[in-house]
Amino acid sequence: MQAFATPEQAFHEALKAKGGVDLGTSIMACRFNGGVVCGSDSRTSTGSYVANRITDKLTQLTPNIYVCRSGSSADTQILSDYVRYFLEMHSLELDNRCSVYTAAHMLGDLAYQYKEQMQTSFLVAGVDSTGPHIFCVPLGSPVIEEPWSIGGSGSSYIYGHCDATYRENMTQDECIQFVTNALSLAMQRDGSSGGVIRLAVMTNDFKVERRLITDPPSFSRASTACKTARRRLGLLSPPALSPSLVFLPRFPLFVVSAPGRAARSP
Amino acid sequence: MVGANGESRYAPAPPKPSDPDGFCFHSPHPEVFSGQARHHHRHSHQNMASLKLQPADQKVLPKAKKTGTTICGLICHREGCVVLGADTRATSEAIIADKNCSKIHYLAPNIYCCGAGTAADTEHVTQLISSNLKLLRLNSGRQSRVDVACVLLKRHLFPYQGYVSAALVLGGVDFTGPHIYQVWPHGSTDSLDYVTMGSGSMAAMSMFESRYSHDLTLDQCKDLVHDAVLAGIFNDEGSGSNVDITIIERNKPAQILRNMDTPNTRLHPMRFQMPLKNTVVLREFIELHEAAPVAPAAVPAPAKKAEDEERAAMPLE
Repeated sequence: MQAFATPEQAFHEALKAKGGVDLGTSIMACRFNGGVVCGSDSRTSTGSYVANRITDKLTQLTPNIYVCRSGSSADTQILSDYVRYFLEMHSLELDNRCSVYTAAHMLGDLAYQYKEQMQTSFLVAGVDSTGPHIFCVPLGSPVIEEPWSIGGSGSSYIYGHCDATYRENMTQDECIQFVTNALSLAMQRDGSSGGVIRLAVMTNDFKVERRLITDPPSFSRASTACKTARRRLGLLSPPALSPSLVFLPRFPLFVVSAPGRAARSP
Repeated sequence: MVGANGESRYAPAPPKPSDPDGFCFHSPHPEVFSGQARHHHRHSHQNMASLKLQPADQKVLPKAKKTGTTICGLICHREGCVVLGADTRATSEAIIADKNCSKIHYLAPNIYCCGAGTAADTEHVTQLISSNLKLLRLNSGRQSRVDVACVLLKRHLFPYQGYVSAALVLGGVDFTGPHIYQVWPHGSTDSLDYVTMGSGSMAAMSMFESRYSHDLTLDQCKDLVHDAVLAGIFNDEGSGSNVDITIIERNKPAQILRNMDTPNTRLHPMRFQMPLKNTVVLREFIELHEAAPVAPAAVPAPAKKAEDEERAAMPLE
């Protein structure tokens, strides 16, 4: 019997043994003073083979709610597809935006119903009329509200970093940096996480912005040395003025405002 | 485990302590390590006999099952179309069951699907989804959409939890543009620009990873898919024979290039034509049936004399 550092890692190993397609993952969500940021890596693996290196593990449940998926790819896809459908019906009946609480509990109830057969772990993040919320729906399917939350096999490596770094009432940019840095750290230590960082920023005015960070900040000595060498060869531009943990994404790829329903009063 | 005379039934008797050449290993399971190693080395093949000591339920029989395939597909962004490719080898364990099978299945006029895994499963899943898509088209009067095909496939596969072993590359063009999906047997799907599946997927993916770009023309895309399938055919033992390619363009009938390349033709092609009169007619007779209301004169009398002569000349069994 192998010992594992955290339940996430044991879960990940069990999933690998099952033989399905697996989101060995780093996912994260964090609240800030005007909304919520959620992010993930982009690696999907089958055993040791990376089946998809640009996966989008952030699924939009409603225009104002995203879910970060980790665990079995098939299980989390089917569950979030069903919850998206149920929430659409629900919001049509209510003629209102869904609350994040509703979305999280709907997902938690489904995941609990099938917890013997499915291996899923979610972070539900979004904004509603009561402000930004983050719910964690881990393995046994409890639903826990948290100011920030991390999940997936890569999360084991960054609990200390997040505990030490998180502050209440961060600004949007600070929060984006916090999530980006934490995910980069996880992706660089966890073999099952990697690729690019995908972010979704939801603000209290019901705007949603998706970002793709193709060049995550690097913290390892080896890659720092490599970057220095490349810089000397003129392959990289000189470092920014503060080459510390501060990172601003260079390519905000596309900006999505909540389509249609955003104009309606909540 | 030990016979009446004190000797193990599975391994030679343990060496006596006085034996200078003998190997003595103090093990909690002495019957496992009781083999006599003559070379002062723990790795002795005599110990192999003791493997028989495993209880029957722990014996794992080797399973030889392989369903090899190379299938792949990519989006040609420049011309807004999709190219699918597949090899044509079907295997049943170590035997090549079919040297020229077809792995690119029809789903709709604008959607095709390559299948890897168990041939029966890919065949039947694609037939079922093709039927459902046709019903949807008849109901809605609209062209089928690729993401609908993808959802129908994953909703079929997921409840079977991977036991319907169909790994698919789904490709097509609808009014939203060209799409390629990867569908795994457990029911998860990925939407990507270029995709490979099957045991030859890594060989094919190496070609895509090195040569794919968004600027490729349709001819270049076709060449790339062709080369990717060839990489599978020549570097994966589960894949082989010929290259099939299907090109789906917008508002055009799909181009089905069956056996567009045959790099494994026989050096000495089989000839099934036999020269005429190769079969010696040993005897010939016509039986008359009474029930037949035919005038006996209409039947030519057998050449009895010639037949008798022939019979006499022929050695009888």
